Amino acid sequence: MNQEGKRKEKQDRLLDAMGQINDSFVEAAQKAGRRKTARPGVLSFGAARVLAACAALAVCVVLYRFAAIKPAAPVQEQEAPVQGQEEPVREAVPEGRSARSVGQEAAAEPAPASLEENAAEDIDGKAAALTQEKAEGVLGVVLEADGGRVTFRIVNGTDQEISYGKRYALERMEENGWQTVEPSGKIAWEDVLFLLQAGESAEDTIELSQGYDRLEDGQYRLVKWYFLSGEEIPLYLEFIVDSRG
Amino acid sequence: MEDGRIIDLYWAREETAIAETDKKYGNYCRSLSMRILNSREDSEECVNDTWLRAWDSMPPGRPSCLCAFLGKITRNLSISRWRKNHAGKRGSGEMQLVLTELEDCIPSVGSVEEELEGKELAASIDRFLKSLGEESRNIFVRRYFYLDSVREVADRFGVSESKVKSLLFRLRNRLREHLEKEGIEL
Repeated sequence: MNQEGKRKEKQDRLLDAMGQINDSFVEAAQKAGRRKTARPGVLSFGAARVLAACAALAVCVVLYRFAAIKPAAPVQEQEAPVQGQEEPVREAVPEGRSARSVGQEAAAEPAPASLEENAAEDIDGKAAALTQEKAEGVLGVVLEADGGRVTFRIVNGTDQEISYGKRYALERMEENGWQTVEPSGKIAWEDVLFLLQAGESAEDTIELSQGYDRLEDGQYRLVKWYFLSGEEIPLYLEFIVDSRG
Repeated sequence: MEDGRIIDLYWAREETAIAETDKKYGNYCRSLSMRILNSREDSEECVNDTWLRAWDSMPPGRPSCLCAFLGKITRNLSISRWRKNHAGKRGSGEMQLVLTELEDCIPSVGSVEEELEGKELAASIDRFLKSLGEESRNIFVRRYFYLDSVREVADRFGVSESKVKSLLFRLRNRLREHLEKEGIEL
């Protein structure tokens, strides 16, 4: 074997040996790092952006709280009390268009300016806690929900690109905590990957009827997973189904 | 679902074991494979083969760490695929960079006792990794096991790329010294 061949063989042996290292090192490295930690008392620029977006989204949550609980109520009436509120956050999936196409378009748009502008408004903490989730700088908010579909928005508040697919799980709050709701049949996930650049947001709608019987009244949450720096992170999106509403 | 329950499903020969594995570790394995192959189609095939290997291995196997178990299978399958795709030539990409960097760790000829089997070499690398501080070890593993780019490593650990590069350079030299000290030739 010539010199070049030997060199490649040695490279390969080292590479292969790295593939046989102790499991504990592999696992530890998978969990390690991931976040830049801010010094105590000092907010990083990224964290400040996330908090601002979080506060702004909470305002929107208040607006959609009733839409989530009473989806039949006209949207216009819910919006009336708040002046100067812009619309784009709650754009529903139009008739005849797929959630995918809406998501793809939204993925290319930056987060609406109204979110930032409304950051200082009063926040209904309870509603926010119920319907909005922040995970590792990524925000999720349920815009509309009933027993058959859920419309939500994901905001990438990190300084990196995130990706996510169509997959989700459904959980219901029971006496002993969150429990998985098993689908009534087998769900086939469309093989689509959505990319969200830093600061961008996207909206999507999940038709629960494709995998579940119509949901009974109760408190639920969708579990979505997104990828950040190669790591899978869950995002919880809570909503209430109240057919009496 | 807990790893133990997923493994139980394999042992019970329940096909849902694969669905549950994909649900929990699908993206983890796909992203690892993608870094190596840079091809969605190829990495999807490698991940599917990973599930098949897992199905064939359990039982009798009962991995203590499912994450590492699956990661290793995916990595090995993906590297094999990469080699097949690049037979006779070495191209560009993260894999080539990693391979080139690993040259720094090759002990000089002369310190030879005898050629070691892969497992013995891995055991020696384990001893080296154990001797490192936690962050250095994790950075080394992210780069040379997971094949993260230097940028990804820097982002993950919140440090600059130059710091990662210089740390990796020092670590590679230390590994070479360690291997020489243990009388290992590749």
